[in-house]
Amino acid sequence: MANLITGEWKKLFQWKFLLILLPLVFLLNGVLLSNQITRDFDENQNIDRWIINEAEPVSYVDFLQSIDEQAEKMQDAAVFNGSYFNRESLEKTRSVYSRLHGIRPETDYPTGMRYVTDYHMTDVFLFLTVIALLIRLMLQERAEGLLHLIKPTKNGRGRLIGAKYLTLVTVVFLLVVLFYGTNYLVAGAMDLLGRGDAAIQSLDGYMASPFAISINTYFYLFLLCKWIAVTAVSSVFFLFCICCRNQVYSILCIVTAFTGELLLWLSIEDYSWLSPIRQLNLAAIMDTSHYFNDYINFNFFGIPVSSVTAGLLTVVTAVVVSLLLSVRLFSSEASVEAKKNQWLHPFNRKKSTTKLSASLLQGECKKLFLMQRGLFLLALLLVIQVISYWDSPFFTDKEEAYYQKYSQILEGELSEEKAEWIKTEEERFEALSVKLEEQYQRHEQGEISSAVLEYYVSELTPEQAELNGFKRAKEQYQYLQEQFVKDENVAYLYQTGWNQLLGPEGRQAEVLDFAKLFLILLLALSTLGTIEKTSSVELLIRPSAKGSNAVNRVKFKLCTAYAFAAAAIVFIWRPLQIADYYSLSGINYSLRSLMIFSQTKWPVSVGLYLGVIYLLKAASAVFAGQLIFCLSRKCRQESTVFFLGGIIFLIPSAAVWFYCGL
Amino acid sequence: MKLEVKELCKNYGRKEALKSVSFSLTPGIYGLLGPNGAGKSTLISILTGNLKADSGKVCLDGEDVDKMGEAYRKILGYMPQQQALYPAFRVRAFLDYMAALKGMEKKEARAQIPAILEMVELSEYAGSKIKTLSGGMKQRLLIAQAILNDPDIIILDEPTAGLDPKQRIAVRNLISRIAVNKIVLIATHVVSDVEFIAKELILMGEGKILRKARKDEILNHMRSLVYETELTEEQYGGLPSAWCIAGISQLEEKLFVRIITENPDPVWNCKEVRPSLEDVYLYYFGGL
Repeated sequence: MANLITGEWKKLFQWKFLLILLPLVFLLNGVLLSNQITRDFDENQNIDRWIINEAEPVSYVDFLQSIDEQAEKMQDAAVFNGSYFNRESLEKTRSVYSRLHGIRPETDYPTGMRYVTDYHMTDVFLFLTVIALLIRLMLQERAEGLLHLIKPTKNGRGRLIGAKYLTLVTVVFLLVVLFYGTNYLVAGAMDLLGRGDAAIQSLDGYMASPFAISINTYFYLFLLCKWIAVTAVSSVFFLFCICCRNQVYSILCIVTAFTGELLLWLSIEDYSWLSPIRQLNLAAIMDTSHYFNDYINFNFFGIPVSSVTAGLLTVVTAVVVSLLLSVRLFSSEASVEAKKNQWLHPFNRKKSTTKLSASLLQGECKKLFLMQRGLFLLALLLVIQVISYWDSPFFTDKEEAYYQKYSQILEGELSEEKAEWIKTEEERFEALSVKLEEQYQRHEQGEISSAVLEYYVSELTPEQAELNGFKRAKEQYQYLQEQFVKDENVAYLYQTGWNQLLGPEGRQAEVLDFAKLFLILLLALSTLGTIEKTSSVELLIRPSAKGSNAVNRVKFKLCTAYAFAAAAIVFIWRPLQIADYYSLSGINYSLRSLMIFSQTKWPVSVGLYLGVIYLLKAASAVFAGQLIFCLSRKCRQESTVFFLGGIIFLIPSAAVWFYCGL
Repeated sequence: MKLEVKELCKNYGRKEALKSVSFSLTPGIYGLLGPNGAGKSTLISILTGNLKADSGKVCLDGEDVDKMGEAYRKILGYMPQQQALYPAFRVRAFLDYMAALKGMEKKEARAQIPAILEMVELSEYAGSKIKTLSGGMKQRLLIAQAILNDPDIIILDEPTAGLDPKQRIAVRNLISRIAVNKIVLIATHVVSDVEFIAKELILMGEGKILRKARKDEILNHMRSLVYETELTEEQYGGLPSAWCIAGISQLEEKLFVRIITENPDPVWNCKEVRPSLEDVYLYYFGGL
């Protein structure tokens, strides 16, 4: 077995790109982390103070005391007595925190360790690296046709899979240590790490930690737990690679499964009846630090189960089930294939068509859309976008509704009549205010009772939301009137929809759309160049009359068309959704009609600007597609292309997405 | 038509794969014989443009093929040693794609493909996916794509690998049929592939051309080098180690041993016999 594991390590590290790119990835992670820290401190204007002083409003002793007191109050309340879960949960919580009396957390403790363990970009880097390594470990041999050689050998089944799994486990350990070690070094270099023997409760946001451990112990335990968590998640991905047997489907399954888990983790509340799904979850175990910074019991069929127990259960289940299934599936693959062929045999009839076309374009289309699942990926992208944009995420509160109402009246070119109307409306509000004042005076003078006054107040006081809505519309109109006296093409437009589409509010959604686009392009096009190498057909293409150049020209055009189609599928939905909810009007008016562009020097219309933006999006998709195609031509292996493409496209998307969300 | 190879050299690091290889080919079938590692595949890769030589050139009718470019590739048909196929393509679709690569007109391809499939006995599998074909069928498909555009120069690298004896004979006969007025170069280390059909043999070893001549010339050269003798088991053990044992057959308690040697010792009662191409192969590549 040791020989097999050594063999797997050698195969993995013979991948030269790994040795070059991995250090770069660590470096990139470190640079992004230091950039994040610097930005956070600049925003807090604590440039010279590297210690965030969030002196706890309550001392730790008081905090523990409050837990006891709250528990007692709850126990006395009738509503808790009837519930086994509530009683037991309280007891457990009390018991856990009772062990922490005597701990003296430090005040003014630096937040460096939080950055080390809670920086989510590191998880993104780790995720991408693990996927790339899994493809290399599990799918490369299959793609190169080497499994036929390996599987008939004595150790070619269960032991081989066991060796691959152990290789994965050890490599994951190395990655966790190196990634978080880099974070530790960065935080240390920026002098953000305090005394290692301070209690974990000294760390900002960790006061509720149920553990009596030091910061250093926390870091080591974090590394151990992170390794276990990533191993568990990788075990599931390991199983997907065996089930799916090719890169495209494997990555799709991995991304879909993990995204689903992440959505459950982020959207379900701790105390919801769905909380078991939240806790028994791969995304939950990846968010490893949450086990250390709080104590939560969730309701598992009436039994209080701590989140730590849930995490352990998830890990054990993921590892055991994935490993057992992996060994079984891999070992019995031949019979699975035969059974599958039996099932599909009625559908796999020989095609007897005599239609021939002798067209390079048709051949390349077949390769891209069918062999490389390009068509399936486009269809999947369409489904994902329809589901993503089916429900409108927008919400119109009262103020927005009033603003919308006033905007409908004022919409269009600026005019004296509209200005007059605003004045009239202002006077109406003033008149109401005056009348109300009169009633107050009458009440003071005793002319009317409180009840009557209340009546007048309710009748004469406009809703705050209406006032705010009017104020917003009025200020917008007056601003336009003052700034653009001579510009006839500037008009009053209802802003909210345009802000969602073109302003900062919609940036995270835009970035997510770009990330989906890049992922699909990566999956579809990363094999466009490598397929000729892995199938050895390049030996036939090069000496042919048309040669490699002709084939590459066709691929180039196909790539462009594919990227364009993918971009259309991705980017069409958001404007439709926004237009449907907010109705985007005024595309013929000047761009300066939009407040976010009121200072622009471009003399263009809103419609033209929109056209340019979407053209740029399409161009960026085409550029991304071409770059991926170039990478696949240069690199000999799909795993390398995916890894490189992930670093170039997915990492920055993730970084920008996190940044936009802050 | 004349294909000339002039002073080709190719190194892989310190290893000299080709050492100043020169020869010329005119229409006819040539067998390129040599053991593994002789440089056959390297030579073929250079002839087909899959590899660039470090020095030297290949000329067709006096013109450098590198400069000819598409014009040279248009008249070239190549079958690689590796099974270079798209598993998910169907047979006809694959030939269709190769026809497009070879610059064939649609009409021409439409006419040629069924005929080619008939020739290689794959008509029945025209609609089948390549991954469902046996190894021998895949070889025949590769031959089919090599001759699809009726090329003037056909290069076949191990064309009979994976074929049963009947199929090997069929492939040999096929090559003979299509080789009229064409230059056909067959690289192989299986002597029987070229024994009956090659006009000339090119013996290659350690990156060099050892011999290029007609079969009868080469065999003549082997006269008085090949012997047979009758021995007992004990006598067999005493044979000089320098002699190359070309074959042993046993009849009752007697061993009939075929020997290749430049110095036959009369003690062993060796009788001179007619040499075969296998003897030639052993003589040049058998470490004698």
